[in-house]
Amino acid sequence: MSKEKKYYNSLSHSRESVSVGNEFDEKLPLDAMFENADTLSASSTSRRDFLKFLGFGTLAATLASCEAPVVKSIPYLNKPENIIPGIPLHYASSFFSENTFASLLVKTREGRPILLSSNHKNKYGGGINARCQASVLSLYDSNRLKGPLEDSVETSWSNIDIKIKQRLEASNKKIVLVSSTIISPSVKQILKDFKKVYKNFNHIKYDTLSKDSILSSNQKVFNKRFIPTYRFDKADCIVSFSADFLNEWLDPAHSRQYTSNRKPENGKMSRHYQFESLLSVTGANADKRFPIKPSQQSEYILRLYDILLSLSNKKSINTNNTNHDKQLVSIANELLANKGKSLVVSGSDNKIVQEIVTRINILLKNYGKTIFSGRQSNLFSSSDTEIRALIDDMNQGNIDVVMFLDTNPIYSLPSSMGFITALKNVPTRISFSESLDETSKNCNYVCPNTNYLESWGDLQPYSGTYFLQQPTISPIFDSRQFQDSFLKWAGSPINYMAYLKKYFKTNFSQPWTKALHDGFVEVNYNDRELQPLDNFSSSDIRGFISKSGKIELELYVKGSMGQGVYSNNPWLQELPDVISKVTWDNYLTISPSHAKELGISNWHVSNGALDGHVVNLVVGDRTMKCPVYIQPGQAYGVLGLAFGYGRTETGKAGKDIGVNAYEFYNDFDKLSTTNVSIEVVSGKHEFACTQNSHTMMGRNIVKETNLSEYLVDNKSGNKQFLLHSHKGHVKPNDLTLWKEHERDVHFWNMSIDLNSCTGCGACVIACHAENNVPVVGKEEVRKNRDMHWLRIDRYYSSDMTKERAKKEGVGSIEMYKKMEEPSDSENLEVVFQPVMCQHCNHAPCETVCPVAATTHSREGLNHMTYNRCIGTRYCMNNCPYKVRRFNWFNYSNNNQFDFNMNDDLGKMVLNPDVTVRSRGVMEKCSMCIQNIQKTKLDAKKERRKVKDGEVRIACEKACDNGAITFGDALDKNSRISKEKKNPRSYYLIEELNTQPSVFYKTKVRNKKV
Amino acid sequence: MKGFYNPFLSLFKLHFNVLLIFQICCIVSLNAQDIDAGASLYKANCTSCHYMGPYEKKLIGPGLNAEILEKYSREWLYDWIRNSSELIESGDKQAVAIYEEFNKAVMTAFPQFSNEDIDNILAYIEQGPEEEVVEIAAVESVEAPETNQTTLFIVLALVLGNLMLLIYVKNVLKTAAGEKKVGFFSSALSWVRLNPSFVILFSVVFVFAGMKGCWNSLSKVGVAQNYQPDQPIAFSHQLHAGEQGIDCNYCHHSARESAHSGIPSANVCMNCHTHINEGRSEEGTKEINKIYAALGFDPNSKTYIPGYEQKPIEWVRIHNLPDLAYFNHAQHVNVAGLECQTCHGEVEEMEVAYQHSKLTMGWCINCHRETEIDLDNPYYHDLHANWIDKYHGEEITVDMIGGRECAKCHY
Repeated sequence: MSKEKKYYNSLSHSRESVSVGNEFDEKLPLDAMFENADTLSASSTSRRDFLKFLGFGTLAATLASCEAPVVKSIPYLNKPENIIPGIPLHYASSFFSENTFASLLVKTREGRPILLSSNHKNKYGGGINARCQASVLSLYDSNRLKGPLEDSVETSWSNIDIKIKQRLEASNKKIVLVSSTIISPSVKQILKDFKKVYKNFNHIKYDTLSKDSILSSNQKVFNKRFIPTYRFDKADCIVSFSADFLNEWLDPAHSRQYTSNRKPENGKMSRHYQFESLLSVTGANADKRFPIKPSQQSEYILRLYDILLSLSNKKSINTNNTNHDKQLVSIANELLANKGKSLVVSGSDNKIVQEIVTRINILLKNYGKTIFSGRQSNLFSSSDTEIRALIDDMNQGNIDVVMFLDTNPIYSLPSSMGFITALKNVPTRISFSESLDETSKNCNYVCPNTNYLESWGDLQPYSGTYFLQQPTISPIFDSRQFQDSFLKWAGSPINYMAYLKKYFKTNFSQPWTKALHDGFVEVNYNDRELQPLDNFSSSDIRGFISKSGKIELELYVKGSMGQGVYSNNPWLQELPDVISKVTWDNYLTISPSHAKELGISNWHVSNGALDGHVVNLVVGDRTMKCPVYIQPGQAYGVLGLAFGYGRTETGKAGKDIGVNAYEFYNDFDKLSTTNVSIEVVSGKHEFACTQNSHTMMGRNIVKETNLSEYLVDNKSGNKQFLLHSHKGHVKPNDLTLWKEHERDVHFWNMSIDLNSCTGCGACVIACHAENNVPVVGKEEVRKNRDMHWLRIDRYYSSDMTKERAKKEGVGSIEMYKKMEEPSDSENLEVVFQPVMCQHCNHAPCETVCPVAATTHSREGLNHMTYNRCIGTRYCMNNCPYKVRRFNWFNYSNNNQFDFNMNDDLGKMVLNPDVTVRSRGVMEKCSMCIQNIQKTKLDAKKERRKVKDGEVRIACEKACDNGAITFGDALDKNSRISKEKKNPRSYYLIEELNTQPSVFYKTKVRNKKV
Repeated sequence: MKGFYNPFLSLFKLHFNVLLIFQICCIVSLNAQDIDAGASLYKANCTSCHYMGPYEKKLIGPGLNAEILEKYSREWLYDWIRNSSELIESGDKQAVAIYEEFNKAVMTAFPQFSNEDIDNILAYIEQGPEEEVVEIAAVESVEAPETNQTTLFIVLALVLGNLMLLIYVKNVLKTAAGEKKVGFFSSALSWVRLNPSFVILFSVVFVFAGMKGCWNSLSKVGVAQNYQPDQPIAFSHQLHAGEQGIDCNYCHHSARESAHSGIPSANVCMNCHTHINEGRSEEGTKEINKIYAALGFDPNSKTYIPGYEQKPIEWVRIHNLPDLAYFNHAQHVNVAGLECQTCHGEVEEMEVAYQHSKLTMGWCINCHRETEIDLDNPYYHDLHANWIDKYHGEEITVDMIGGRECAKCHY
């Protein structure tokens, strides 16, 4: 007989590496199941013994299960007056970490902070991003230090105070505090007082990701070292050169501003151009994106300036042509047409580039309109020379005492700078780190700081606003605020809380309790715009254009991991990257065409998980082994690598995950344009990716249109789907077999505006916190067993469409094959779509459940009853939106899933109103039914109706951009009723007639036509 | 005490009752009218500040017993009780001495009391408290349930005895009739062979009874009705909620606002027990002292011991819903206006608290089926008219507006 015929169920099956003959790809772990046959026969337990044990065991288990455990109920001895068990309390506080500020409302239950949301009482204030949202879990990190350490041995505060005071007093060289930017006015005062006692004290600011280029360029242009504040909501034309302003660039508040000017209902939207090398969150949201190499960025900015100068009849500077000159001229014209209503920004670390950007904005008269030099941002302040000078000082032995606060230079400085060897020359090294990190490991005294949710504080992120921070829980461990340490060492008799109150009373006239309640006070400031100096000469720009290399490297910041401070936060580790959807990893990104050329590929193994090649990345004399992820949309010849990974000293969740990109962060420049090369090495890397399909395959999942078309027809892009039937063309609902549900009290609906969603992922983390969603770890994510109740789908556009196939006569197999591939041209577009349970009113899941564990409510919600579920997973299979999640294991109290739920401390973040699900049951978004029920109860208690906007579910609260609206559609005046009538609103996969309670609003771009 | 006659117990009761009646008669013969009136006046007006007992047994004011009649003249007492501050101002030595002794706390004035009223009160004070005796009388009726069991055994024993007697008689008669003696089992067997229909019927009944028994016992798994654990402090709801008539919400105040009714914190106990340091019996005082031991309170000086390491009171939780069920007290107590007793039974009669209801899902659902919603609540206002049309004026139960949906209680 001829060779046996083989059928492949996926492309990867045809690979030789995968065995086709076996039912299971991987060898069954028989040894682990039966242990060793030899030991089995050598065992002294006979068959009769076994049966005896079995019988006894069964009996004992039965008897044990008959008796219910005795449950203790321990009330307070002295109950604080404002705490009622079961009722949450909210406190206004503030967050400042990784140079990111947010004004918060902290929800506490019985004294435990469990959820953070934006304090919308103030107009300014940074937005709350995914990391800030997840920071509440880091409060309950078991890796935090339990008390002060002296030479890695636990000691007491009194001992440490005596020892450190001795050392400080004995010091005759320099005492140095290294910290990230401090925006607390009272701390600045404390440091001044400290300097009065210790004259040789110096404060060195070191921001991990420095913005010295902007600060220094402003020093030159305005004669003042500052960062202005930006108003993206006032800009009608935005041009960004690799500034990822929706994610990390300067301030997360930009995202809220940006989306507020992207509402087509207003009749206008800002137009956004993005020139960038990697595919960033900001680029993904842009109207037009130009992938260019990092070395070209400065060239393009200069060219744009030149064009602007010549268009406004000013003396031109000599620049070379670029590949996109035509587009640059058109953009320049548009900018000039929007004088005073435009913004040009750049993420460059080069101060000359930043200076030119400033000059462009001055030329466009944007200062005082969209950029404010009067109202300044204090979020960054460090100067790159300071830390270099410190290393020299340490090497020369000029420093006696060094202290580290909110900074981790051993991790975040490239090892080539020799920080670790320099540090050895300092006899007294003190760290205020909350947990043992790379730097505090090398310190002889560690004075653990309290978490920000346990601390007092004040913050002045922008001129004109003063925020307060208050403790929402008493310190869990024997840690102490660093401010208290400084006060104590300077011999002050009062503690920081008293100091702060005194500071407030002397500087502000407002009542303290009112300020604490609101979380902030407004202060007067000089809002006069600064006058630029006319000291620009074209000779400055000579030779600043970066040299181009064959391969260039750009380092970037992931929204989930940031600078790496929160690396031990399992929620963030499992939050999929906004663009690549990869969890638990960083990797080199490369464009598809470049990868093909170099023979690098990513492939799916038989269970659908993604594997990829590994390369050696060489930059100068540094070599590092990195996995490679092929990223559509990235410019050819560029590699991207994210910061924040590769921590060696952190807790169990973050240790040794990914590679440390700071090794290549030379001279505080994210770009390395020369001497970069890669070579493929043997081995493969396993990615844990939550979305493996790239495109929509020609389906209408995300409906999209352009503003120009929308203004003509507000239903453009949102064509009603019609079915062919015996009655002619009808809406899917007209052919229904279903009976309508009764609706009388409420009908909860949700609207998601795809124009306001930037894909950031803050809602995903908020959902974790609110609904006790477990973390499953990398291995399980690879098996598609992630438990996110809310996911954000990302789709790339494809070059192939059905129309094009028809026109060009492409066969359908070839067409679908092409459709699977994202566009590799400049025109690649990206859309994001948050998908949670759609709460179908004709729900496919409900009809297939054999035990009626999932049922429909009169209020339009699809209920999931865990205690009734027997785990058939029929509902999961029948769900067209794939939003149901199955508990394959017990994720709490399970050493196999050693994350926050396997830890008494980590469990303190759990929401007591929501069940912790057990093994073998299905779970999914409940529309935060606990909040709905609570609000209804509040209304009934107060004998009134539920107000519109009163029910605030976790994802809605987390979305600072206001992309999510939730409410009662039976209330005719509610926001949601209006959204429902919006011509942009549509149901996801409407053709199935599932009648969801969730609907989306079409994405509208503002492309130039 | 039903059905079963216990000669010893009833003899004891008789004896005891005679004793009690004799004692009461003795007291009554003294000054019946005065003491009753005095007792009710005393209880209404004096107990909150005075103990009955020697002078040293202080509450807010001194302890009261017959000694005061020796120490103070009747006239002085009239004046003092009607308006003590006047007496103090007049500079009366005895009055000022008391005023100083009790940290210048002024006794409430009772101008409405006539001399006769005061005489009655004094007569009551002179006689002293008689409650102790009554209390013992209340205790002895507790052992009733056990006798029920015994009755059952006696009845069973009687039936069995009669049966054996019948068999014996039958056998004797058979012997007398000269029939051949057959073994008991073989005769039973032959009887079974002759009556197959009876056997089938019997087995069917037996199997079904067994199944029903299994069902009954299985449906009790996890149901902790009548669960009555020992508590760290022998707190009596009967005394506090029953006799003293303290409102349930006073201690369990969060029941109106929150999901949890809450076990009162020790500072709530101290609102009263700062002053009430003694129980009715020695045991009672011991139990009160347990609160002081937890908080570090010294009842003699009425101060908290500084630096005392407070120890929480570990109550045993009686009502345990599984984690998967969400129950909210405020919804039921505040919104629906249910009495606590609806689910918790007559708590005010419980010496030791126990779980009154089954707390099973069927029990919850049944109530939701039967209970009407409060249509007067403005929350339902504009729905009211629709419902009248829809349900033709039928009563609207919780069930009808979705009170039986899964995720109302399971999320």
